[in-house]
Amino acid sequence: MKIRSIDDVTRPVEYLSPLDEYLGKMIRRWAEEEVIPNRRRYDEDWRDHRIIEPAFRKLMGEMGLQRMLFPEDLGGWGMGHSDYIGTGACRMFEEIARADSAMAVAFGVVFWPLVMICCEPHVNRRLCEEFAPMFCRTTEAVFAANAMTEPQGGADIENMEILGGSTIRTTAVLDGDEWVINGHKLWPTNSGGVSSLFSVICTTDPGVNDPEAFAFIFVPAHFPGVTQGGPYEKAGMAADKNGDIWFENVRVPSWYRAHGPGLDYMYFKEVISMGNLGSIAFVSGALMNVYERMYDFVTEHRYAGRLLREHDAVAGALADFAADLEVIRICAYQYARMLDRPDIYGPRWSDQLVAKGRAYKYFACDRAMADLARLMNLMESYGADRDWDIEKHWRDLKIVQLWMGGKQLCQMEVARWFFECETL
Amino acid sequence: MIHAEVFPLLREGVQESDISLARSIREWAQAELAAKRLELKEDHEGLLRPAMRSLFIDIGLQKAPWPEDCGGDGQSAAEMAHTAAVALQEAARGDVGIAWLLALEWAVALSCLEGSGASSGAVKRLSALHCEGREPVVLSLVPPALEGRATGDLASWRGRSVPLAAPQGGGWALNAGGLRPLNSGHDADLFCVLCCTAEGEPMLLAVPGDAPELERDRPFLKTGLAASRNADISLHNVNIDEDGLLLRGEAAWRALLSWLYLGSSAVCTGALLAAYEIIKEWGDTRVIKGRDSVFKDNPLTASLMAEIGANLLACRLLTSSLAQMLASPDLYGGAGGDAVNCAALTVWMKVSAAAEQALDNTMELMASAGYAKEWQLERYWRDVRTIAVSLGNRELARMELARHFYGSAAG
Ligand SMILES: Cc1cc2nc3c(=O)[nH]c(=O)nc-3n(C[C@H](O)[C@H](O)[C@H](O)COP(=O)(O)OP(=O)(O)OC[C@H]3O[C@@H](n4cnc5c(N)ncnc54)[C@H](O)[C@@H]3O)c2cc1C
Repeated sequence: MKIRSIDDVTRPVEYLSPLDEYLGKMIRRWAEEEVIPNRRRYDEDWRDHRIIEPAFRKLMGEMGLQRMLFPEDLGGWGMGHSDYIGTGACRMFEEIARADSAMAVAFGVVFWPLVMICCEPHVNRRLCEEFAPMFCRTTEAVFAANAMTEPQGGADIENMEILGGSTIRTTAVLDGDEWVINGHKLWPTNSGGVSSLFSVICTTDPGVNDPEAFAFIFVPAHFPGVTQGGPYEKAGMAADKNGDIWFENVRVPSWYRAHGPGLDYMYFKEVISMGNLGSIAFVSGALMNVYERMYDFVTEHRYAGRLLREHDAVAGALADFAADLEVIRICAYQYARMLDRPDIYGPRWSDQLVAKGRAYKYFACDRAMADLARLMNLMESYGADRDWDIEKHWRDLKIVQLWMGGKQLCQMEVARWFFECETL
Repeated sequence: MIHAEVFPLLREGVQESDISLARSIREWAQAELAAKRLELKEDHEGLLRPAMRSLFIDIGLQKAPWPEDCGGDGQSAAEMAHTAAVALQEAARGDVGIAWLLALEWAVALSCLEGSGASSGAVKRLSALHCEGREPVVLSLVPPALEGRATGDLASWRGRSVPLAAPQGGGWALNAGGLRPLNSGHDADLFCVLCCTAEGEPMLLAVPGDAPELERDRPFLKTGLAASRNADISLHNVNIDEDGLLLRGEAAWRALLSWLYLGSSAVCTGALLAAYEIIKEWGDTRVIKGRDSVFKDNPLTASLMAEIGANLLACRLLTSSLAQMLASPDLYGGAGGDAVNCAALTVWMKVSAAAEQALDNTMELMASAGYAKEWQLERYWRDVRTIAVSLGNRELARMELARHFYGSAAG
């Protein structure tokens, strides 16, 4: 009889939010009813999302999770004010990623732009009031996207310490009380025609390395001049649509800029920290499902008359995976806690927390990819068989390792912080 | 030879005809695959099957190892070792799955022809199949499996489960379900099933794809290798006569594996050649860190690019070395002998691991472009992983090596 379960994988329980149990159970039930039975057909649904869309609707619209960050009086759940935003998000992302990490990222990225305006201590009440109805007064799933990456390179835009926004080509020009935005973004999660609201990383002074010129501006997708291309076909992550977005003389009110010169740049680093937390939690959640499926596999298959898991060399590989899973999960919650408690660890946008988030993220991703390679190999031809789900997690998680600037940018930021490098 | 100046190919034993064959295959890959890839992607009927027909039939690779008096090209095993190492690399640049199907065919042919117990009738039958038709022949290999899936009359052989070959008439009967072929269960013309007698002797028996007692499951979805549409099969008391005996004895099976490790190593090396071309273009043109830093000139990315190149070169040298061993049984012993087989397994383990690592790294350096189908890299990444897992659990394979290197009794 199976005694162990994914809930035996450690996380620091003293950090957990009071809502952890409730939200965790709710999402797990949703995942088991709405996603896991269908997910093997998701790859073929990458363009239309006919099978995927109803599951999003249920989670975000009907169960209402898309309202989470907005203040209660605007119809939200007020998590932007919570001391448990990191650990709470971590649990939710894990539970969704256990079923499908692309759904977890599509869900998580809804909040990426909103972190900028809904979270203490930098709430922009006017923008919350402006956008809350879009998310809170509907039972349809409503998506948002954070458009940073441009054709010439995404890593450079995130490489803020050194390049200070100088490579951003999307421009914002103030014309009276409106921003006029021009540029081309690509790859944002929830692009490809999905999003209702974009946050767009722009420069007000192209080519300069100046935090003041960095602008974080909200652009509703239906505004004139916004054009979205169809989704790209990818190696995995079918539930996340990614495509091109063109902004041609798009006019938005001047107060759609999140906070203004200097502050946009500063708080944007918190967006990066949150992205790193999400990435680690997606890895941790997906690996929890890998644990479940591998447990089944090594229990259903035998070698030389013994259960596969009872073969010492195979058990060595299983142990290595379990050890990584333990460490990655603890790491996810530890980082979440660090983001929850600025009073102890400093502001979420500090260089320290950005660098440490990058370190945990690339550690988690590298370990996960190495483990998945080894586990797929243990399964022989079943390792490449979609019915066993492991190969899906392998394909999906690969992009977690590559996005947000790729591994090399992570390495540079980590070295820069720990070793005080100045030119990387 | 493509990129030979950067990644030397060991030339001993490689004939001029191999080099010109490689050139033809390069043209085939361009005309039949690359030119149509963006539109047809991995379409089996529209792209892969016609490309296979042109490689197997028009270029004629399907009949290369079969005897001349049966209509084949009569290339000897020694010649074929080098041809396989060179040709399969080129073919894999075009499509890893097609190249691997060819590698499997050649492994079966060469081990059969090596006189490993195949009846002369079997050789005639297989030659005719490969040399007379105008359609590509698809062979499917059904190897020993982890226990727990297959049902019916089974035997345990070397810790794994295989169908029991029960004597019947002058031949054998097989009755087993839930068998997982290595490849092409959905559309194979012939299944080569490793089975075992009650006395524990392994045999490779041929089951025609149109045998009424053969049942194919629905094709299952998998990571890569679109050219190989795979499905589990069941054999309901299939009768196989003496002419269906392809191999007999453990050494014969090991010989087949040695040839398959060579072919698979060449295929993975070919995939890396394609990846090299893609990352080279990326490295020449992509700019990072603002305007001035060309990708290949950044020390960190250059270091990883160097690692990718080094892995490719190591794969190429190892593959060539294995080809030389297989081409010289007088020096190293036969393909089924312990020394050659363990060398082949070692080469395969190292090449597959290096190829997986290099493809992982290539994708990392290309970030989203590497992950997008449009850039063509991710297909190689999925295909190589699919071959690497299909050819067996490395933890268990290491027991073979421990036995050979140290006399270990670990099973
Ligand atoms: C599923 C998915 C979801 C995504 N979601 C979003 C999103 O929500 N929003 C968004 O804006 N983008 C998103 N992206 C894009 C992604 O974040 C970028 O692709 C990533 O940041 C890398 O940018 P790039 O692809 O332009 O590669 P480049 O910036 O060209 O980088 C290529 C590689 O260069 C190396 N490199 C970069 N900088 C340095 C340096 N300074 N030193 C050494 N090496 C370096 C790294 O290895 C990097 O991987 C997503 C992509 C995918 C596939």
